[in-house]
Amino acid sequence: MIEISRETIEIAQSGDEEAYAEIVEAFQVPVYNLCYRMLFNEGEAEEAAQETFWKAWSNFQAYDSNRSFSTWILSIAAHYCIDQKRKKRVPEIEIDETMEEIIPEKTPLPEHEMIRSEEDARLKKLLHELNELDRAALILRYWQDMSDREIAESLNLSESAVKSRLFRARRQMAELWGKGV
Amino acid sequence: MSTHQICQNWILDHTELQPEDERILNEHLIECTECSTLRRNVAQSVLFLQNAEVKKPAAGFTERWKLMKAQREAEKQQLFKIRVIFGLVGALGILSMAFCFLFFLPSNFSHNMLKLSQLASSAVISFGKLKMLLNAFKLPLLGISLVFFTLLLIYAFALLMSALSSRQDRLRKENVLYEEE
Repeated sequence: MIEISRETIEIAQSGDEEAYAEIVEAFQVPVYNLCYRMLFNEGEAEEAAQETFWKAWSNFQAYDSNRSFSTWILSIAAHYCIDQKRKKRVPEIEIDETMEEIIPEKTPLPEHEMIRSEEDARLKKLLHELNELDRAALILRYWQDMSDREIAESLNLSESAVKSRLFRARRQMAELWGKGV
Repeated sequence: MSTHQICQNWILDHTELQPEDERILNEHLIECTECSTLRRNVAQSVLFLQNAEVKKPAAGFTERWKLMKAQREAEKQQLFKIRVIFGLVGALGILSMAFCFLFFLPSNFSHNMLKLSQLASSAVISFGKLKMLLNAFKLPLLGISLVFFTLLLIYAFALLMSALSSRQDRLRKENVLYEEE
C-alpha cells in the first residue's frame, strides 16, 4: 500500500498546494481504480476520483494524522461512489451489450487487448450483482489489501459487519463463478 | 451446527485455519462434492479478482486536478460575492421598507414622537411640518429605493449567470481535454 511521508501530509494540511499535488500524484491510481471498479465507467471514475481529491482538500483539516492517509482517502472515494450509485442510479449497461461495445466488429482489437477486455467484462459481471457496500468491501480487501479493521474504518462499519459482508460477497461470487460467469 | 455447515463457513471466511480444522475440512472435502466445488469456486474467483488489472487514470490526472481546483476555487469566490450581494440587497430592502413604514404610515412611531415633541417644546421644529415635507417626497423616495433594489437584483442575477457560464466552460474544457487524451 502506498504511504506518503507524514511531513508531506502536514505541509499539505497547512494549505501547500504543491505538497497536495504530490499526494494526488501518489494516490491517483488506487483512488481511480477503486472508483472504476465501483462505477465501471471511465468518465464517471475520473470524475469521482477528481471529486474525491477535491473533497479531501476541502476537508483536510478534519483529517486525523494518527489515521492512515490511504484509509482516509479511499474512504472518501468509496462513500462518494456509493452515494453516486444510490443517488443517480447510474444506468447500468447490459452485460451482453458491454461485450459488443468493447469488441467492435469493424476494428478488431489486438489479442492481449481482447483478453483484457473479456476479463474486464467478466469482472464486471461478477461484481455487478453485489450490493454497493459489499462491492466496496471486496475491492478494499483484494485490491488494496486492507484488513477487516481498516475496511471497517473506511466504510463506517463494525468489524463483524465487514466480516459478514465479505462472507456474503464471496458466496455470491462463488455462485456466479460456478455458473460460468 | 453440522460439519458440513462448519466447513462451508470456513471456506467462505477465506482465512487460514488451525491444523486440526484444516484436517477436518480436508476430510470433509473428500466426501462432500458441494463443499469441494464451493472451495474451488471461492479460490478461483478470489484469485481472478486479485490478478485483475489495476485501472489507471489517463495521463495528466494531477494537471487536470490542479485545473479543476483553480476553477472550483474561483466559483467558490464568485458564490461568496453573490451571497454577500444578496445579503446586502436583502438588508437594504428591509431597511428601505422600514424607513417607509416609519415615516409615512399614520399612528406610527414618528407620529407619536411628533406629539411628544410638540408638548416638550414649541421652539422645536414641528414634526408635523417635517412629516408633511417628507410626505411630499414619499413617492420619489419610494421610487428611488425600488430602482436601487431592482438594479442590485439585476447585478446579482448577472453575477449568478456568469458563475454558471464559467462552470459550463470549465466542464466543456475538461471534456475536450479528456477526449484529446
